[in-house]
Amino acid sequence: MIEVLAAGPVTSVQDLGRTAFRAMGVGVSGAMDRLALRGANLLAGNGPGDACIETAVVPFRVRFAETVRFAVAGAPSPVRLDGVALPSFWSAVAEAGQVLEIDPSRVGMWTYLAAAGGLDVPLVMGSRSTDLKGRYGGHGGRALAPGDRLGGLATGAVPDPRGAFGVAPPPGRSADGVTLVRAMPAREHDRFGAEAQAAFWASAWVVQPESNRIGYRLAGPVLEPLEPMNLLSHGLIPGVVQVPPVGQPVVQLSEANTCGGYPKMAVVIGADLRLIAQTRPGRSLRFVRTTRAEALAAAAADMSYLAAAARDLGRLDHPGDGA
Amino acid sequence: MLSDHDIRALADHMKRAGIGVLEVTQPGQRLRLRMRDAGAAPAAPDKAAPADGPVVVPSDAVGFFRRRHPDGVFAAVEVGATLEVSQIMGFLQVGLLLRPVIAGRRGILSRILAPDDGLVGYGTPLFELQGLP
Repeated sequence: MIEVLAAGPVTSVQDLGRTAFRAMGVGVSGAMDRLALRGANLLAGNGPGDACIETAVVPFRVRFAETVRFAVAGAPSPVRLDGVALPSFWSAVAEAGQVLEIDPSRVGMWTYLAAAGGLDVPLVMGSRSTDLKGRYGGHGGRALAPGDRLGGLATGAVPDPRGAFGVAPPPGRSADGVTLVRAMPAREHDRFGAEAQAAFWASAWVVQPESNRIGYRLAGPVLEPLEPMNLLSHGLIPGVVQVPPVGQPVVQLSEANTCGGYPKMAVVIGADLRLIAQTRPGRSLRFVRTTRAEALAAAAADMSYLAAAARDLGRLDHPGDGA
Repeated sequence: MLSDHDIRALADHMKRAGIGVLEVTQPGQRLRLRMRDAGAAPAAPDKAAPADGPVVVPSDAVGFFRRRHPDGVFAAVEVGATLEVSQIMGFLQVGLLLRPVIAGRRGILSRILAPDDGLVGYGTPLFELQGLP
């Protein structure tokens, strides 16, 4: 059992999302940084898609009502267990009554807290993720608030002699402080002129404050199509980069609208959605043109990172073996 | 199966790297090598030391000694810092796995005894601190 002592408007229960009902207009939702959520679960001994708490922007505080292994992963942020500082991608055992503090990250956005066994909130259409826009899923379909109590799915906790440990975080991709995100041209890419296309791929786009789990707004040169487009509404997925009539791109993210009608300049590869998500408002990102083969390789590289982390964590169970 | 030649090579490597104890496990074989004169026994923080005396914090595992966490944010401890009992002073890395080096007692960090990013073994002295009550 976890008791929330402090939380912000975007602190919510998340998992890997609600993927089976998109055709009915149900958004995917789920963690903004899915690799971090998987990492937190791995470190806590959970299944990869178990429900975690995702937090950002506002200090987050919880009290553990019982002794439990937990893990934090994602944007490195000041984390303290009863005042003792812990790094990111870290797993430790909290004793009953201990308070965990996660302050907002200064270098990234989203940090994840996993508790061994996963959080016990109801499955809604196959997922425990909160859809803040639709107000369903997670804990009462809303952000967490002080006084909330979340149960764990773990039963009969066993003594765990492994103590505290962590894994090296997955690599980021940036140059001169600008996040590099790989993307492929989308359907309306060629209906923008060569100048607009060049500006799109070459510019450092500044993430705007009015960004959220639905999508991030970007500011930079104005992108105008060769001629105005009036498109029928069509399906959207996380990663689609739309260009509304104002000419400033919007990247659809976890709570992406399921359909829309703005021209699509590009689509960010799945593996790099976390990199956008972790780019703070005021910081910049640049789109790097890539291919389907590279996109698949990037997704495979994320899985390889997790597999290597799982293998190396196994050394804790066999401390004498080949260390 | 490890040959005599392999074992000799491992021992040479342990000597060069200052590793006190090495265990190798393979199917049907478990080998434990201990350097006779390397202070190899896994040393525990000397809790019996006087409160104001120097205390060595040793490594309790084989790995690369990292003074800084790879997240680039977690603050490294510097000489002169006051350390709390549970404070993480550094890390031992094997592959992606990171294990903490924990102060184990209150004190003021007086010396850093092992080079950053160097390979350390069981019992390698990592830090010296002046105990505080």
